[in-house]
Amino acid sequence: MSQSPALPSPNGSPIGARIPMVDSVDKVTGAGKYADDLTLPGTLVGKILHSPHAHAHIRSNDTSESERLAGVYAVVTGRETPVKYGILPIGHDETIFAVNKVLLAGPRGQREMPLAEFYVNDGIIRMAKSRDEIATGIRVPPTSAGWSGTYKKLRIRQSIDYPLAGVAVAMRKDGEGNCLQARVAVNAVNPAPQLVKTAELLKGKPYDPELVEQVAHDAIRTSKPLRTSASTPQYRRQMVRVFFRRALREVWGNGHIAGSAE
Amino acid sequence: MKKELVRLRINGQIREAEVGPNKLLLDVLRQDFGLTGSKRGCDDSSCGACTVLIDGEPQMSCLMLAVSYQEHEITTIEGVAIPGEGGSELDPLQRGFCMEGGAQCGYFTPGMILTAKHLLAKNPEPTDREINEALSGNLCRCTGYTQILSSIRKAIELLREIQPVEVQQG
Repeated sequence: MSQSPALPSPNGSPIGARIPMVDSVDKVTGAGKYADDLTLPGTLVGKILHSPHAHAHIRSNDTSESERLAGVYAVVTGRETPVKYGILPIGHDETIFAVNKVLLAGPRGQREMPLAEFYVNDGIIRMAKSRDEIATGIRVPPTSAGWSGTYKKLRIRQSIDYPLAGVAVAMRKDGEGNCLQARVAVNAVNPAPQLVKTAELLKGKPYDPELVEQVAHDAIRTSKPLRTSASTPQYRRQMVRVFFRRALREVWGNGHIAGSAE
Repeated sequence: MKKELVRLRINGQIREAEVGPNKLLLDVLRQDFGLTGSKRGCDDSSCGACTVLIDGEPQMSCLMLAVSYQEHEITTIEGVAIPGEGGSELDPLQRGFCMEGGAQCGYFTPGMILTAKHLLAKNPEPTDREINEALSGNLCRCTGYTQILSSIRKAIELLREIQPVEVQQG
């Protein structure tokens, strides 16, 4: 840059002073060159033609007329770019140009899957749905007769707060207070909410604080709370244990057995 | 389409080019005159990156046909610095944007500076609200408008220092 004007240099120490970016003068005078500002000899200019229709299936793509146009060097379509090439982690299955179908969300018929399979324990691909599906609803079983449950949620405020840890318990018991069926889930401490598999152990048993500790331990062992939230992973793991005790005492213990030491 | 000779007065200089009657002012500035300080952001007047001053008024050059502006005074970002002996000197607005970090990535800065230039010419002591309103057509995709606001405030401060001198001379 020949004679680009300079900023007057600051007097005294730079400590505590605002220092202009080294290229700030180029930026405020329009002298800075961005990719679009460069003209190189023999530059080939590309144009992208977008589909006018979302979610359209591509039946055929006849480019012969475009290829005959004066000055057109090449026409490239999805046929020439079959290799998947996603820049973003969510787009690993994207091709450069549309192949078969214009990639936008839309219906491809309906299907159902158990909620436990819908969530995937993967921080990047978090749901077991395809790119062209959206979740339209959750079907709750019509009867919950005989079941009782509770949900304990750790949060900083009382309302509209994301959980920092959560324990959910649903249980069906017989007249004696024995567990017939139990589903226990932890959330907010893994990329996905998870059913605790060892909750199977509760089946057929009366309230047993030791068994509660065992199941809680299993859930905590596999939890990976992130460091980025409002509380430490240690605290959140500890609260999962506390919530297991409280939730299971509430649903399973039901006052049959005097409270343990918690 | 038949090309015709256009004569434009840009930054105080007469410049000529053979252009089609449908050529946009932005493209003439960038392609025919190499004035790439005016940027193409959205191409549909949403972003303000292509703002130039036409007779002192901010206008988006991506919407204007070059041939229609032959009788007008066009100012681009390249014409904002003040020419002087031994090189040009930055305009107070340009200094403000440098000193307060308002240039950020720099792509939308030329349009912002030209819009602010018009604002301060009209209203040397604008309120923050007036500044925000004036700049509402200039987007920033770094999304930091605070430093842009403080850059303009800084420029107002710098202008106040200069002002009394000009009054004595005038």
